[in-house]
Amino acid sequence: MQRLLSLLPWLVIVFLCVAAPVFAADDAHGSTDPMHIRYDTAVWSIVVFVLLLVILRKSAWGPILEGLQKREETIRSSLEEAKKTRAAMEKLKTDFQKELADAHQQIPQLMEDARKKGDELAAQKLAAAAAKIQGDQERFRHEMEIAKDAAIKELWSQAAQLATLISAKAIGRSLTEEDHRRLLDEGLQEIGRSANN
Amino acid sequence: MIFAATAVEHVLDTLSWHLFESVHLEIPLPGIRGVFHGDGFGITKYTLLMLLAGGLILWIYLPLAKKIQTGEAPTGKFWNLFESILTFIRDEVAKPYIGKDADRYVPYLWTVFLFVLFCNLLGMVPFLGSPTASFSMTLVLATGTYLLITAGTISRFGFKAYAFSFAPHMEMPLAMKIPMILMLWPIEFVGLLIKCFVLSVRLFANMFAGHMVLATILLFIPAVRNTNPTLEWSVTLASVLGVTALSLLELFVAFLQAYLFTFLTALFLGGVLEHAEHAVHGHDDHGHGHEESPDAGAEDVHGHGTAAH
Repeated sequence: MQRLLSLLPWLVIVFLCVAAPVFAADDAHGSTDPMHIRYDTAVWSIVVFVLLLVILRKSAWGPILEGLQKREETIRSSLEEAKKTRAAMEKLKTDFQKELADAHQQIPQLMEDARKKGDELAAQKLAAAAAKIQGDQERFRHEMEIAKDAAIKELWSQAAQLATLISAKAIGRSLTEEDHRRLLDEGLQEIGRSANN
Repeated sequence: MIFAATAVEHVLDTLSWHLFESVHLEIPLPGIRGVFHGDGFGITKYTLLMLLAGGLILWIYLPLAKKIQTGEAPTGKFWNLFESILTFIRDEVAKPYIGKDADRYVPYLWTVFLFVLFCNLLGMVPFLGSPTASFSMTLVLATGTYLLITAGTISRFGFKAYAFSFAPHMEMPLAMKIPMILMLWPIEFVGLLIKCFVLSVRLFANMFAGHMVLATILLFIPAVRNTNPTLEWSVTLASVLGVTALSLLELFVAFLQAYLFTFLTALFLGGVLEHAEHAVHGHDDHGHGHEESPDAGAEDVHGHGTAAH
């Protein structure tokens, strides 16, 4: 088809050269009527336009249409992708706002719980500290009592020995160990009674 | 200063290229002179201009096609400018008026728009001319439109649907419908021919008249020189300023006429395709074409319109 089209101008020229005497006319100036049809202009218009259409259709319009359709498809898919992403983002935003609102609502409760727990913990710590302090006090008091008793005993023992020594020196004789012990016990009992009184 | 002795000679196509009439400078073009009632037959001035227009279109769009084929976004003024012309015709002319099959016919519409536009614009260049100011040329283009409508409809829906597309849909008894269709069918059929014929006349008349006016205003200068030389400079100044102003109008007309030719081609084609589809699928199916309603006052598409443009 294209070969035929490319041969068309040459076929027209050959035909006109052969047929020229037939078309020859007396009037050699041509028409000045604007609507007058010039055959050569018409023929060349057909040839040029058809050739242009064929060349452009094959080499330009086809690839351009392909490119435009490809671009449209890209834009369409990008738009759909953007819509999907936007919808997902909207959902995320809604979820986030909902969670934020929930969190705002939970904050007073959480703070109340935390305060209660803090109070409870503080009370527990205070109670434990008080109990420990009381225990320590009891233990110190007991140890003090023991130490005091031991010191008193030691004091009375020393006092008895001293009294024995003094009395021995005063009466001029020595008392036996058994005497010392008996005197000491009596003295202690006497002291104890006087202390209780 | 003027290319021909009269305004009409300036616009007519010839086998010679007038440059400076005052010094009788013209380039004879190859051809057989004296045949076809004195017109001759050969490579005319408008033939060369059509080749120039075609060459410019190829020079611009063949490299651009490789870029657009990639599907990437257009970059740069050149690419954006020339691609926007194509996308305008496709999106604003073909798709609204032809419909879903627009891409089948878009190559023709692109070609005819660019060819007419470039031919029109060549007339704005000094020493050149507009091949579209030749009725022979515009008649060929309009014939191309008629053949596109006919061949396109027959290849898409078959000859029967094409033939029935000229029978208007009427809700009336069969006894009345048949004679009505028999009367209206020839009118509709000839109506399409007339519309295509008027398409060629409109383009030719606009371009021819525009160049005639420009040439006439410029021809005031030699006319005054011969009759009243004292007014020559004032008339020259007025003529040049007037031609400059009217050339701006001509520039607009060049784009407008190219658009109108393409727009009406799409409109006529869309109308016939729609009627042919209705003939095949019935009038309840309105799936074809006319995604957007065209200007109601512009054209009676649905009835094929009897008003020729």
